[in-house]
Amino acid sequence: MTATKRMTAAKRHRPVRRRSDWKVALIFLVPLIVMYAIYFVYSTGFLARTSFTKVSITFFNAVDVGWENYRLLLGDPVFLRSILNNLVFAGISIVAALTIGFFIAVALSTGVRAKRVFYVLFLLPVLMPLSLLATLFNSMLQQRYGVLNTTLEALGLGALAQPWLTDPGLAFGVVSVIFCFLIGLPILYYTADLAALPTESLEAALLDGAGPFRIMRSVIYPMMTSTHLTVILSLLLGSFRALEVVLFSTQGGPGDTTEIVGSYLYGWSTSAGPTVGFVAAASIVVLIIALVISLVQMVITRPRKGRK
Amino acid sequence: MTAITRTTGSATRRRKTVERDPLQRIVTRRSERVVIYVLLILMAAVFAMPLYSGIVKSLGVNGIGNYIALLTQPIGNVSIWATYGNSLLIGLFHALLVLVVSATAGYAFSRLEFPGREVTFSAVLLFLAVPGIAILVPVYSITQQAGLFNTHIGVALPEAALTIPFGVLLLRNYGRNIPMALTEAAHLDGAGHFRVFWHIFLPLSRPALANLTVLCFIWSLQDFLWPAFIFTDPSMATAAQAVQTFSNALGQSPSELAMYNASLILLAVPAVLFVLFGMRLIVNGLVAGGTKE
Amino acid sequence: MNKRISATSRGRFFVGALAGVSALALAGCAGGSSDTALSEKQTIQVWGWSGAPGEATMDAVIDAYEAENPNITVEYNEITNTDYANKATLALSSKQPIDVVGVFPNDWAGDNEDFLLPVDQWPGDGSPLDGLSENAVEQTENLYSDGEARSVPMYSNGSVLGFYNPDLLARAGFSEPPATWAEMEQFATALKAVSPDILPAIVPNDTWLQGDFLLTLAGNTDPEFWNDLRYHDGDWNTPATVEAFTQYRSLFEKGILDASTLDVPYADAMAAFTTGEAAIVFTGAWEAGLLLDSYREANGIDLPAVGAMPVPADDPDARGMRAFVDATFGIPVNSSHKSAAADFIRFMTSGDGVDVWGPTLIGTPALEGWSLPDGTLSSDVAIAGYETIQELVNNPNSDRNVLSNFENQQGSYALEVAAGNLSPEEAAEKGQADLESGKYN
Repeated sequence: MTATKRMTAAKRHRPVRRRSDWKVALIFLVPLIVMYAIYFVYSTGFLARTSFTKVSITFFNAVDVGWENYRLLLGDPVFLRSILNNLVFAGISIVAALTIGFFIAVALSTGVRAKRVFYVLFLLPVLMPLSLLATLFNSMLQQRYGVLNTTLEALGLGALAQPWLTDPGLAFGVVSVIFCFLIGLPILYYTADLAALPTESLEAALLDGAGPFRIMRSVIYPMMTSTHLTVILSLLLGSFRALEVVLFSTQGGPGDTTEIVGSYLYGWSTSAGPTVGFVAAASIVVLIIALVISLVQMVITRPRKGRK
Repeated sequence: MTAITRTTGSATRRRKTVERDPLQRIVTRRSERVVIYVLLILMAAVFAMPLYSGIVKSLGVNGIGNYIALLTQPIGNVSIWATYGNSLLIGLFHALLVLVVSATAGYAFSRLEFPGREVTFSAVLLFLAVPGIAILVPVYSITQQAGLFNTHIGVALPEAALTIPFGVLLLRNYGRNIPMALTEAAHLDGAGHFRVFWHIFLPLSRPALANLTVLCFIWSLQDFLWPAFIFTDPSMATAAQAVQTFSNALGQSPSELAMYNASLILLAVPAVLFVLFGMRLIVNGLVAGGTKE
Repeated sequence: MNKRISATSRGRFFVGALAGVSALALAGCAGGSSDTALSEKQTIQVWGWSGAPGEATMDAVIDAYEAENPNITVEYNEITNTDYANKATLALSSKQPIDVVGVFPNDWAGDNEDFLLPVDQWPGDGSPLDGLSENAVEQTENLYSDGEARSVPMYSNGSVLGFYNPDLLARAGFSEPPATWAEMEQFATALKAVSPDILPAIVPNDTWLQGDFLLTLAGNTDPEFWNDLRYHDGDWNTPATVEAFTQYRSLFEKGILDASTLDVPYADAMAAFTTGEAAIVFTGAWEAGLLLDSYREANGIDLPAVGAMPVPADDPDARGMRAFVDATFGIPVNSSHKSAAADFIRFMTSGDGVDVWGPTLIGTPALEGWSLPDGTLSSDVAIAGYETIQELVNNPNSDRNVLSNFENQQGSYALEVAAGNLSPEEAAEKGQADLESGKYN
């Protein structure tokens, strides 16, 4: 038996099926199972049960209301708009990452001095508390007292000073910009994968005398499709979990223009009175959407059949 | 908090020496280099603008005095040092929980064979996209029943629950890169799985565990949601949540507004420090979000 | 196979032990319906929301109380008013140790009445409601489903009214504050001609205050409007509402309010007023401290005088506002210091405590017959302002019994109407749909 084991051990990916280790596996998986059971399985069940009631945060005196919460939810244009907004913001930040983020990553890899300073600056917004970032934006963009407008006035460009936070279109743009501030992460992915690019095409292009921008666009960009995919998926996942970005900058305003799923749920979660059943229904719908996104991500990144 | 699985391996190919790296050579003309620098500097300036605006506003009225006042007295019952301390303590619990679960589950998914392994792993990954706010209501109930309001562990538990999918992914992928030969040899010598886990898997996974730890601290520092809802006592506050507390406590006069901006800057400091000193760990951790081969 | 206890098993034990300890701790704290004698040394926990009466004032009251009762220590826990509802409910339902709890004077009181001890069961001599004004007591009792008071009112307040800067008014040629919107328009024009950088008036953009302002405008047209809606199932979409929205938008068109202030939150708006960048700020009567020289000095506010005025209306006699009991306090059923809690509440609402917070003008005391000590207000402007506030609070056109979720939502519509993105009719329709949907109440 020993010789057979040694031979099969050389093959990394398809060891001969020994007796299955399921008993040991179960023991090792206990911590995971406990956490998941409590925080995901129980939670989902709890939410489902609560979503059919009208109850306050005390969970006492729950009144059964059947599908009413779901009816109210799916008939609420603000909720539907918030889902749309999530997708739009994700889309915008994806476009920014695939263009600006890509450019920054490549540019920084071409031998720029003070590279580290640039990295820190671009990475900082992703890693500092988002509540801070969004608050700074809000304070900076106040029409009358914000630094941006007062600077524009000081520079004589007062005509450019806008109601950034109270005009719906502009506010939407502001939130998009904040989302774009989070391209530090895609820049990281690009940088790491740039280091692993095969060099033959690059060498060939250099020999042909192509300029850097041409090379970036026509040679490097097409070669990084798997990274592009990674970036797209990661931003999609991340935007769905966003909350503070909107909460501290525009609070979903003006009106409901910039509401996202997170801020919508937060608003209802913090409102007084028997709204918890409604929140639970919204949470269930959000959970379903989150699971679908994860599913999509898993299917797309499934390794091709030959490998396993 | 995001994680992805990627299909290229970054560990295998190593960059050639700098001079032979073609990327370094694609910029030939001076004018091109200037353009690149200008664009980078412009974008960096845009990125630095919010921080700059905060700093400018914070130096109003009393200048540096604002910072000194914040560092020496509490605002609305909350002292800045307390927020740092709370965040770090929560980060500690958060990291501990995530490490325990991720290491054990990562080992199970990468080194053990059992029926339904890949399906279970996929099921675990399904919860990567769950927004914290979606499980707020049940967490309220759970925290209430366990009596964990106003405790650091009460905040760390839901944080850990949301980080665990990423952690398991990280450790499992890392575990798959450990050559089977090492563990085979140990098994042949009579070691059981627990021994292999403790003496081989854990030490070899140290880089991944270190990355994960740093990320847990950063995410605890960033977290607004759980401290906001689980700390009902306002004197317990964390960095991200104190933003709200301070904005309510610091009211009317311009000097207070300047102090508020100074507090924002100070609250960002721990994150900045982590980024400056832990950058490599952070980068490695996020980038190694998964090699799936 | 080696099955020795490994690190993972130890990890699991830790988590299990933790859960066990927590459960035990919770069980241990379950019994809380006892009481501690007044004479014993004890500490009581007081929970209140921001601004009612506010940290500084509460600390002063506590100091006075502790001086009279050296064996009782009082700890005050203040929570932002926007967060208070859910946090307090959670704390009450999870039996956190609270002895004196602030009770919101709206549906919250009724929703949480099971957690509060009825006033007639409070320890101590006589009813804590003795000596308080009938109005205040009645309003408090009506908050509860059975009409049994479970909290004691401390003071009443109203919203919205205006605080003005007499110097800036004088600069535009006004020795008395404008009473009608026509006068306000004249004032705005005159001020802009002299000092173009100064705002004639500002309303903070917080949605709850915007809702308040809107309802004040509506009340000046139809005084019965809010009470009808609140107590008699009245509609939201009425001519008064549409008129209020239209009027609000017109204020921006006439230059009385400036569209550039639609993103200015409470603190910034107050700062604009106190630094002389705005001549009038519209907010609630709880800011009456501005009238006091001592308050302005203590807070570094460099205005020689501040006056108070009602929100203008087309008919000057119709000017009013909503008013109601503001801060009320109750005792949780689970408190183990009920005697001390009751004693403290009596001190605050009808005892010597009133002399501590009364002069800060945080609100109109519920205590009958209490009057401001001589010399609190020095200038004529301040005295006139104080009288105006008393008049408004004691003769409201309707109850400021807020439906917070609903009013917040209408406040956000007000902002949109002001910015010109929503028509008054549409806003009123949306509001009616909100009311009928059942999501907000």
